[in-house]
Parts: sequence; C-alpha cells; structure tokens
Amino acid sequence: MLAQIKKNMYESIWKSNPIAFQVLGVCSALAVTVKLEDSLVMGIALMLVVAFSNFTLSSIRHYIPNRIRIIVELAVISSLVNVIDELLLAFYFDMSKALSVFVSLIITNCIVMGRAEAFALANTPLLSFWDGIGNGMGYAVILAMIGSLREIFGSGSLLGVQVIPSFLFDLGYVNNGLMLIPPAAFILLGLIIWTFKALGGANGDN
Amino acid sequence: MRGSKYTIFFTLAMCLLISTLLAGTSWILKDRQDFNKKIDVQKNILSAAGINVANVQDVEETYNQRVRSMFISKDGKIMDTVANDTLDCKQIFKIKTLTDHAFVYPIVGKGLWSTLYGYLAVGASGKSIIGITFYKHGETPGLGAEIEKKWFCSNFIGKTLYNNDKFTGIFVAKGKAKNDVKYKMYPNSIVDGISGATITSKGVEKMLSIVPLQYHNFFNKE
Repeated sequence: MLAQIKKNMYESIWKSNPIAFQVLGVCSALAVTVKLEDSLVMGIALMLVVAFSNFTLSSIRHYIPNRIRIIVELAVISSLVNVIDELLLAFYFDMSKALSVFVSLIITNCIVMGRAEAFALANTPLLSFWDGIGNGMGYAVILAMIGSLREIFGSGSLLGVQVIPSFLFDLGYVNNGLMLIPPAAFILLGLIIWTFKALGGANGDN
Repeated sequence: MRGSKYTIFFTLAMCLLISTLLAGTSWILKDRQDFNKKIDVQKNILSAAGINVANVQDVEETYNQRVRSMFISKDGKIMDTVANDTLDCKQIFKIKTLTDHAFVYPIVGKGLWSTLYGYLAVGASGKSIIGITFYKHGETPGLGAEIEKKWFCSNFIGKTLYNNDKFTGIFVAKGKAKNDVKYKMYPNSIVDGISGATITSKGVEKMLSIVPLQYHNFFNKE
C-alpha cells in the first residue's frame, strides 16, 4: 500500500505531472500566478478538491449508475468547489477576491475530472485519495514555481517580502513588467516543461 | 445493469444530500462572510478617498471616526430619515481626510458581462476626483477586470468632472488618453482605457456621465 502510494506520487508529480506532461489545468496556471501566495492557495484548493472528489467518487463507485456517471462526478466536484469557495469567502476574503472566478473554475479543471474518470472509478478510496493529493501536488508545484519566478522578477518580492535588495534598484535595476501579465506565465511554463523533459521527467514512462 | 428506478432514486438521493450540504455550509458561514463584505465596503470607501488602512482590524474604527453617511434628496437637500437608497434619494459619505474633507458616493453601471459597483471620491466642491474604486463586478479577468487595478484607478486622480463650469463627466479613451481626439478639448477629463476591454471602458465612461449628475444639486447648493 505505502509503496504503491509512493510510486503513485512519484508518477503524478514527476513522470506524468498534470501540467507538465498532460498539459491539463493550464488556464488557471497562467491566470493566478502573479504572486506566490495566490499560487499556493490555488494549488492547495485544487489539491483538496481532487483528493476529496477522488475519495468520495471512489467510495460510491459501485453504486453510481453508469448512465449518469459524468453528472454524478460533476455534482460531487462542484459541491466541493462551492464549499471551498464559501470557506475562502469566510476566512480569507482578500484571497478570495484575488482568485476571483478561478476558484469556481476548478469545477472545469480537467485534472479533477480526469482523475475521477481515470483513477477513482477503478481504485479503492484510500488509494484514490492519495492519487488526488499527488496530482494536486503536481499542479501546485508547477504553480508555485511559476508564482515565485513571476513575483521575484515582476515585483521584486516573495510572499510579499522584498527579496531583491534595494541597492540594486538604486543602481538602475527595474522590475520586469512582462512578468505581471499572463504571457509571461506561458513562457515560464514552456521553460519549466522543457526543464522537466531535459531532466527525464514528464515523459509518461512508468 | 440496474434499472431506471434505481437511477432516479440515486439522483434524488444525491441531490438531497448535496443541497443539504451546500445550504448548511452557506448558513454556517453567512455571518462571517457578511462581516467580511461589510469591512470590504468600508475599506473601499476609505481607499477611494485616499485613506489606506493596513490592518483589517482597524478598518471599522477608522471608518467610524472619519466617515459620516448621509442621504440627499433629488434637489440636493440632506434628508433626516431615509430607509432605502431609492431613485429619489441618494447616499453620500462625508469623509474627514488628513487636510480637508471629501465626499464619496456609490457608482453603478453596466460593463460587458456584469454590473460594475464602485465608489467615487470627489473634493468638497464635487468637481475634482480624489479617487475611484471598484469592488464588485464580473468582468473578464485580465481584460475588463483590470478596472479594479491600481493603474486604472489611479488614472482618475486629479481629473475633473466639470470643464468651464459645465458638466462633462470623464471620458475613457481607447488606448492611451494622449492619442485620443478628445484629449485636446478636455485634457483634464480623459483617462487611459483598457485595451481589449472597450465595452467595459465605455461602461465606466457612461457611468461617470450619469451618476455624478445626480449629485449636481447637492454640491451646487453647498
């Protein structure tokens, strides 16, 4: 069991990373990665949704009528997303505003449905839960990478703390405005996928 | 293969369970969410007038110290007792700023997909703009949603709603204000638009040509 979870984690983060290899969930990866904090919250939100939707769907997989399978999946996923959205509104209001529609758009994030269809319906609840954590982590890791790079070079800070020393600004260093707009995330994502592949990851081999 | 009866039963049970869950969550969290929204509105009113409060905890206190909410009638008189913000009466906030006082009033208008809600802060004469904020809208992120960003809102600071004592509103240019034909006539009443969000920009322009007029009588009486 533990070995299986470990292998599953390794695969979903490194070998078949949902963003880098399967190229799923790219939309939000481009949109909410201006700051590391936003990226982390988004990553964690998605991880929780995939994990719990996988768990729930896997627990009731023998009872789901096949004809309405997809609708059941969507209903479970969208209620989980709604709950997360409500929690953010109640406890993390500014973040909820910063992430705006992208939290609700987790419903349509292909990673969630993809894992439900491909994994949860064929495996035990516990294994599915960890598969969700793994895939969510794969997504979160990429988001965190893009988020840190964009925040460092776009705003000179990391998690809101200035990291580029101010004497560099005195010497004429300026923040890169390109980093603040979505195309920068696209370019960075390309570079990250390239790095993954060059190092032997994201090739889908098992 | 199970029959249709099972499918229908399953669907009903699922719907019941999920709706209970969602209604429950929303019911439990409602108080906190309402509180957050209230603080957010107060923060927006303050920040439209250029007062930024760093700590969420201090917002309510600062608001109570500096802001006085008033209602005015159509002909600009301050009303004593009013229940709702109807067509005939408008809400306005008088705010103590560091040096002087300012007025903030709510602005509402149509964007591309949604209604835009915000606050406009004007000087004591009601002519020059001190600041503007948008706190609720459903525009496209990255395009129309840019209206709530600092770069767009700070465009408005120092602009004037009146030219030669005539109300002109604020024009939102297509692209850079300097390249717009209206810039020559009204250099103090035109701001940069948002590229890729022409309809949202036009919505803001329209809103600023309608709402401030409703306060015209109030300011010209004082």
